[in-house]
Amino acid sequence: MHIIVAGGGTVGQRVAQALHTAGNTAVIIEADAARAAELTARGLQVITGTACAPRRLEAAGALHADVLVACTGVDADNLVISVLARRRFEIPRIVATVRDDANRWLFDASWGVDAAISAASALVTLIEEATGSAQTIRLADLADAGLALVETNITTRSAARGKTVADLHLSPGDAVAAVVRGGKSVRADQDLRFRTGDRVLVVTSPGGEERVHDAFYSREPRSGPA
Amino acid sequence: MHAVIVGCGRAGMALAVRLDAEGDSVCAVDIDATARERLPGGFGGEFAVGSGLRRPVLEAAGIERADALVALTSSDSLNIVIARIAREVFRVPAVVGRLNDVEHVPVATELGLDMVHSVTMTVDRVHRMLHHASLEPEYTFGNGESLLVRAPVPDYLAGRPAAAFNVEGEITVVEVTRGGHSMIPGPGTTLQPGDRVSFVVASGALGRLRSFLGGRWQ
Repeated sequence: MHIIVAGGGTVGQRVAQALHTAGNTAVIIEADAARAAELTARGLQVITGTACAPRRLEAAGALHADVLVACTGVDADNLVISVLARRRFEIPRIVATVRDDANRWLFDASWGVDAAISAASALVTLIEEATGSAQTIRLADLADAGLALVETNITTRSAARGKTVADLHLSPGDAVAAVVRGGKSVRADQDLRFRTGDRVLVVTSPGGEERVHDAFYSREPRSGPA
Repeated sequence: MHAVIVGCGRAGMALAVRLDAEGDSVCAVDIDATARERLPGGFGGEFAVGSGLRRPVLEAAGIERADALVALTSSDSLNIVIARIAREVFRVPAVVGRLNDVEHVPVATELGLDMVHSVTMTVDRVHRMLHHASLEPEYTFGNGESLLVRAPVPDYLAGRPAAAFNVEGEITVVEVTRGGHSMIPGPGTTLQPGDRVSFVVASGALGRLRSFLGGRWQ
């Protein structure tokens, strides 16, 4: 699939990385040149400039894109990008983040938005993840694209701890997209062995969270934390 | 008329003050409460604090009874979104907004919004003042793409048909003033010394018109 990610902030970067690792084409459009250079240095495909301009969306492949994710930090920009993506380029699936919940009433079909995600919930996810308080988190639900991104943390309770990616025998369609270890992304090869503290990004189908969680946790007796 | 002006910076404030002075009912809206303090003491209009994307803020500003809404915030996207809400959700009859970045023009066009392009207008105007000072327009259409210009007929063109000036898509003679009387020229109208002629001219063809008036046919 070809996916355009408008806005290369934390959410945009993660979405693009995960979708890219799962074998999709993801192009980020980022207005800030320094941030764009940073994303490029991390191996992501980036176009610099505002995604509110049709020519830039077109350069990012809007004419054949399957999904657009509007996740700039500015609600009005996300609305403008979404309405352009729908009306000018007829992109089939459009997901937008909402920064200010008071603006949620605007994020509907009249602006081309198929699914609105609260940026606050994305932030909560990050906070939970940073504090390690959650084990398996739905990071982004691209249900309309038939994809969901799930993040799971390897703790002392994880069955996956000490095992390799191949050992997990994930269901077909589920794939480990990225592993973050010590703040750095490591290649999620089949023989990568999970360690405590790893943050694992898994691409699955909508509703696949539980299945993924079970693959990483359930073979461990559900006793209290070590 | 009740006008809601969203964005109370320099332009928003000046517009609010002018409409108020002309007797219109005005409510200026700004996300920054201190914008109110910049309004002059004599300002008789209202002021509402809050985001122009919020329904309660727009309602407090009287958008439901507004005859006009003007979106003059510093953000082009915000102006586009507010203008579209005003037109499509609140059915405000007259909606105008401002754009600074030309990159936002295609979106506004796509949505059919009437927007003033501040940078384009400034550049066009300065360009005209630098290069076509003698052709100061009487009126500009749209965002300055077409202009109404009046100029005396140069002597060398006396006796030629008024239609000799016409260049398809660039210059059209629309009016001739002769001896204090105005007329719309027909195919047979010939120019006389002392006539003043009104042209509608594309901004890109001003140089060509100036050449005509200066005696250089191209």
